[in-house]
Amino acid sequence: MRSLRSAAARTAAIIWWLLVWAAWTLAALVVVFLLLDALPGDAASARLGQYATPEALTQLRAQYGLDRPVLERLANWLRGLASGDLGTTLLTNTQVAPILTSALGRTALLAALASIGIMVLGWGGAILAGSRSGSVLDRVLSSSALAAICTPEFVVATLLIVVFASVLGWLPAVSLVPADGGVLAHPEILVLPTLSIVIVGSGTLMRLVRPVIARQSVSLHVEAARLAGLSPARVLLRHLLPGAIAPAAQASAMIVPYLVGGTVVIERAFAYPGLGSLMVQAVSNREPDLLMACAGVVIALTVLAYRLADLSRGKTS
Amino acid sequence: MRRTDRVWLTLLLAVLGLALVGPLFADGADATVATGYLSPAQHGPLGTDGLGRDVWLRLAHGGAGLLLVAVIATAAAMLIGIVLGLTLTAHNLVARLLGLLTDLLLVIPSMLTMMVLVFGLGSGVWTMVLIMTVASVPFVARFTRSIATPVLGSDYVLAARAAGDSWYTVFRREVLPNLAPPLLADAGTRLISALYLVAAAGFLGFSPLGGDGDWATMVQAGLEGIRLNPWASLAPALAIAAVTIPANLLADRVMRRVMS
Repeated sequence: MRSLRSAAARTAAIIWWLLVWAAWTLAALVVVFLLLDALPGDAASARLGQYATPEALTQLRAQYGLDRPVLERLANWLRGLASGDLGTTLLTNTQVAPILTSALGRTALLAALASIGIMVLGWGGAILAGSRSGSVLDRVLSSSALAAICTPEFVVATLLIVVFASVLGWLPAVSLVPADGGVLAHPEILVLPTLSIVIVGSGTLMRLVRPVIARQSVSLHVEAARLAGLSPARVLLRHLLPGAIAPAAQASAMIVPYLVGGTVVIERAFAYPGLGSLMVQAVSNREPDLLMACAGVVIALTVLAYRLADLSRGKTS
Repeated sequence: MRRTDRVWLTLLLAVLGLALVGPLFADGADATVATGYLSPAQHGPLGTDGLGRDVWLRLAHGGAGLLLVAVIATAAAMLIGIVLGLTLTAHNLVARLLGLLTDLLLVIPSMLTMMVLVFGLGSGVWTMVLIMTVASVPFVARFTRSIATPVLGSDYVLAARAAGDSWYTVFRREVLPNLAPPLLADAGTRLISALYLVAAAGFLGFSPLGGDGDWATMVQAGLEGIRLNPWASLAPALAIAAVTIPANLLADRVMRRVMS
């Protein structure tokens, strides 16, 4: 009976957590929608450019449906979102949802590959550096992580292109996806974009996780295990990591907002047709529905990351 | 100051010097002087770009604007952020609503803020300043609130208030001097992230300063000819890194010293 009740309480807590997540995401999206509306440039004025006479603008705005009140459009957009309809592009009149899903799939592939590298390097570096806080190894690892973070993603990408595509000629400099096949038919196009994200991302992750490990490393029970003469590996696996893993995993969530921005730039550097390229395209072509759809994905992910990280802060304090 | 710090500082000052002095001597940075993508062996110290312009002259010319925009934006963000942060320390409805709005802005990634504002305003210097200000203000405000709250509740502020000093006097004499060092260190961090963002804008093709003369836009434009003359991309990319890496390492050191 008691286990049943605690299971119900846990389910309720999870549902509440998800509801707050959805509420924050929606609130941020509404802010973005209203902001886009409040700014002077819209799809009609951008399309007409210097040929924008008041009559032509009125006509095009009516055609695009931009002449209706903003709250009505917001309500329509939210209704569409609820039913999975993300609107259409103005220029080519195609559905946004399928474009978004295929771009999202390619970015997810890139992100999944990069996360493996980031996890291995970031956590590995954090454990090596954090468990011997203040040592030479710690200083070397921490400064290289900082140097990696300080280098803008596109500089890293440019250096990799010069070395691996231009000088060595091993890998393609652009990651164009052939029209007839998926990304996986040409795995070599994924190498350099993945590597760029891994280099900067693992530095960021290491900076987030290292303090957690370092704090655990000087805790009493780890100190006791060390003094009892257990081997370093045993101390690490049995005594240090179990306590560090939960808070460190939650601290890792903060890497998501960074990855979102970094991936946009990296995709552009390699002309990789993912979510980032889609966003740039949405801005250059002034496609409001496309931009809002991409914004929805980005904001949902970021809010999720902040909520997960907040969870850890709430627990440790 | 450690020796490595001195090396970083020298590198930073050298690149900043080039960026600031460059526009004075680099006349004709926009002139076509040869064919496109000549290697350094064929032309000048760094070869030519896709339109046959001298990469060295363009490098000397293309840094000042980026740095200046980042500095203006940081000043604006610090000013607004500090005022907002001090407002947030109050315990009333306005402060709570502003706090909620700050948190809401915080979950919108700066890259998305940039896309939305470029969408609605077009690119250009003032859009860039606005983007970086909007992106930084929530962080500055939260930081200000976190360091101002203990100072405002401290004994010496209470004592000054009890002695009959006005809030304005207390602020000027007791609060601000205590907040200045951490805020200046934070300004360093904000300046670097502003530089990042404007560079990313250039690389994404939003021509942040109008035209194609800034370092970040040069990196992007040079990529297509990277096999012929890698320096058209590499030189401006390294110049950007030579600003952000030393500045970041030094800012990190200063921040640690100030906060401990």
